[in-house]
Amino acid sequence: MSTLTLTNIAKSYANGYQALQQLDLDINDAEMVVLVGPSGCGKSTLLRMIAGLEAITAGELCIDGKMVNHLEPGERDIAMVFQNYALYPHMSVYNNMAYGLRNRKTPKDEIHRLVTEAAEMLELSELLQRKPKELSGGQRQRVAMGRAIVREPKVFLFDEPLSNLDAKLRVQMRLQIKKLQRRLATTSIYVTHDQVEAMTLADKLVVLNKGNVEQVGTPLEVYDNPASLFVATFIGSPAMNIIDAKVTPEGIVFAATLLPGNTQSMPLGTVKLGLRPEHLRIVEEQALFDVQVDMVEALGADLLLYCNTCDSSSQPLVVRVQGNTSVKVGDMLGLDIHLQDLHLFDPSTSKNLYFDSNLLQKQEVIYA
Amino acid sequence: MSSHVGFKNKWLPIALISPQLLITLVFFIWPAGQAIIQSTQLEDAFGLSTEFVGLENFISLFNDSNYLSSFFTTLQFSLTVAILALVSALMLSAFAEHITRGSTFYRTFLIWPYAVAPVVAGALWLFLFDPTIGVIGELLALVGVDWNPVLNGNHAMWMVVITSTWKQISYNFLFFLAALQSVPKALHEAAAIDGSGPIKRFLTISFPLISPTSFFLLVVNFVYAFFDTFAVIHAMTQGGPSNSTSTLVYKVYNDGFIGLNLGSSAAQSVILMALVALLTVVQFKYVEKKVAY
Amino acid sequence: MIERRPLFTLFCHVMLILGILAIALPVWLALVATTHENTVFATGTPLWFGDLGLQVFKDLLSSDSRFNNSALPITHMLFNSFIMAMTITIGKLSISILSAYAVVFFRFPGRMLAFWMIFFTLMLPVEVRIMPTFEVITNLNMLNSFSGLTIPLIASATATFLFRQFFLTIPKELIEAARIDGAGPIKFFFDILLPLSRTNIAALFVITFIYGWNQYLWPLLITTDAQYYTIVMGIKQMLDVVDGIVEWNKIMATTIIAMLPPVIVVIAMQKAFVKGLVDTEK
Repeated sequence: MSTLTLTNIAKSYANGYQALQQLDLDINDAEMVVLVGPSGCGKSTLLRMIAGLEAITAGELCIDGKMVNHLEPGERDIAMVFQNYALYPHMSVYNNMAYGLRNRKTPKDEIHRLVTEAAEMLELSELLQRKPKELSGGQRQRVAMGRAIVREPKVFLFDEPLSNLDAKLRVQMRLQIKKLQRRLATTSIYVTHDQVEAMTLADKLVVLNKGNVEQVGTPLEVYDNPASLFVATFIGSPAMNIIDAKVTPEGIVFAATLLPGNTQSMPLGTVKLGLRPEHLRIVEEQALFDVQVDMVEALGADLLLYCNTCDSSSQPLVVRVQGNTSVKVGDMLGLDIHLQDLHLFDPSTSKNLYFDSNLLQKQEVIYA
Repeated sequence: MSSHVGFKNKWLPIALISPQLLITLVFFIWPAGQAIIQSTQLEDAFGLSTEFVGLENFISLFNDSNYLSSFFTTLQFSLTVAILALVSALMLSAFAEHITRGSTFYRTFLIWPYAVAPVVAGALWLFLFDPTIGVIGELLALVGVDWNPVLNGNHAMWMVVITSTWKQISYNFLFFLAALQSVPKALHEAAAIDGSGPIKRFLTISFPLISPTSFFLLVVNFVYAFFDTFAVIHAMTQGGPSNSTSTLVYKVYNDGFIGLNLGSSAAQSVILMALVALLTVVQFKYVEKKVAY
Repeated sequence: MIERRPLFTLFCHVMLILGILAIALPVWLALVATTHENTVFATGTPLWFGDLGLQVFKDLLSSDSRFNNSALPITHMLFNSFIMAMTITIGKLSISILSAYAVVFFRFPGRMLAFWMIFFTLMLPVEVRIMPTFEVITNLNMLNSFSGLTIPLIASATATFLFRQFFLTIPKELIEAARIDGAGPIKFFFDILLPLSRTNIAALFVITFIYGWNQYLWPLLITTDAQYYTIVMGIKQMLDVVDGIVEWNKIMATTIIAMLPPVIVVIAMQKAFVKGLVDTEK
């Protein structure tokens, strides 16, 4: 059983810079929690505070109910996989993995068992006597993971471990990490700026921005119901389209369209409307609104259409369609979307104005 | 200084650094302080009492023709050694850089004099320069030079200059060779395509590009000649004849240890310290610039 | 080689060989001199080997040979030189690496002050502070002792700076990984930092050994008891002949014996030596 509780955690530096605002987080046993966000959002700082490599300015960190704020990294029973692997260059793979165990005075045959088992799990058995400089990037990463695994710690910490690998290797390693974590059932915290990694690995996703937690939820929750503009545009690739809209007593107006409905529960005035590229469909009749194609990117399986709305505001929009759709630059297209895939955001707070899509009905296009 | 991540202990690092600090304090800083104090004092002939005389020691030094001439001697000596050692090393390293194979072989056989103690070098060259039995002494006699370093100040000077140069060439060679070899090959190739032969390439491309190293070596050679040549002089000429090879460092030793004029010797030490400080600052400022390249 | 100019390349080789010969000339003549009787020198310098072969060397190195003014057998002086050089080398390397470790990997009050103090020693070579340092040694009763010969020469800044420069290149993740693996500062130093510093230690070893072996002024000042004479000092005394024949063959043999250890170290560890010189000057 390894749970982590973070209460009121904050981090600020001597020069006054606040890296993390008040943060509360509960991590359950065997959960894979991913901290995701752009550079400078505080995710690495948070990870390092959990590791004990950075001091916790305020709040409490508890592992299994015991407060560990003042414990040295070596005393917290955690293991970490670094972005740059941080392997001891002068030691063999075997010794790299054995080092932590030796420091804990683990008996020799126990060390041997743990190391050989981990090596087998990671397909490193042939490489045990090699030095890090003789290994490829992917192999080094596996050794770094092996070093963490043999310790059988309470928590695994991953600090952007796949960032230095090429794209193909990254996909392979991603799967391997997920399988491994499931198999070992160790509580894990994983930091990445790559939202694809975040979505695929997480049991629980924590989206961070400028030291604040924007949303905590499962990947699907975060995708379907982003709590703010930031989360909406950060998760999902290509990013969600955000266009200006207006809430009137009659309904929602955007791109020369009126979407009639009961807007009593919504604040009147300008809002931001969110539509995901993959949710927009090209239709021949009864289109919701029109766009003109400006550029086409053919990815093979998909086509990305960069368009502009046909009204006077001419807002940019990306649409994702099947690869075999015949569209070319300059075409005028009619687009439609399921109403439950619409998102509204408050332009000043950026928060999601969760509304009931059943209150809206489709109607004919009005040109304004 | 960097903000390198490290450990939190406070007492351990203090314990680790204290041996060096202790020795530094006792054998460097304390004596330096003593030198400054003593330079402002005058001791009587029997060493029984000392009297504070302010800057009198310094003033009398600057009025002492012996001191001023030793300044001049040191300058003369330093410049000659520096120029000779730099030019010969530069030429040799240029040749070594040009040949593709064997430069390590030549390097091995050109740098070993660095390991020879200055006093040993002095003994060797004393043998060579001996007026009666030395090879060079004989050769000079053959061409009609009345070679006599014991009586002729100029001859004595040349003797110590050549000996010091001999040692310094290997150091310079090493640095010049490394610098020349670090000039990107692509530049040579481009110049060759433009029609430059090896000599022209050296003059117009390699030499200008190694100017940081050249300048650095100039300073180092100068400092070397100023301070590290005590042993050579002591072994070969003892500052003579009639002070013609008495450099500043030699004089500090002579006046203090032999002449027992502590105040004057201390004052000279202080002046030397200031000079070294100046040269070290120049060297470091220069090295910083070099690193920024 | 960029173009094929065999004549010029030949010229370069010739000049380099001439250079080597010119540099080696003194030692060659010295070697030759050791193989001749001293009487030969009255008529001029021989350029080729004589009859004595290695006899002079053998005589000098036999344990009770003494001659001229040197009151100490050559072997004893060699021993003193060796002890002095090794003590200075090991001492210097040890305290410098510890100081560099303290300055780079820790934060402690007075850190910058300590750093500048050490830097300051660069500006104080022994030649510049001979009299006052001599006084300190006298006051501490360290004249005529190995400690007096070696301790003042141990604390110079170049080694500390070299180690510091190297330590600054160690990625901080390595320290963090070690901390997570349960290594404290001492374990980190021995298990990780020291093995990684091997080439730097080798480089400094060569430079410092040469420095220690070739010390002249300092031993000259503080040893009056012949027991402590080093071979480098001893040579000077052999040159100080008041009357009598200068035994050049013995003097030259001694110079060769005196220069052999450092030269062998330089040639055998040439790579480390070059690295040491180049790195300490950056």
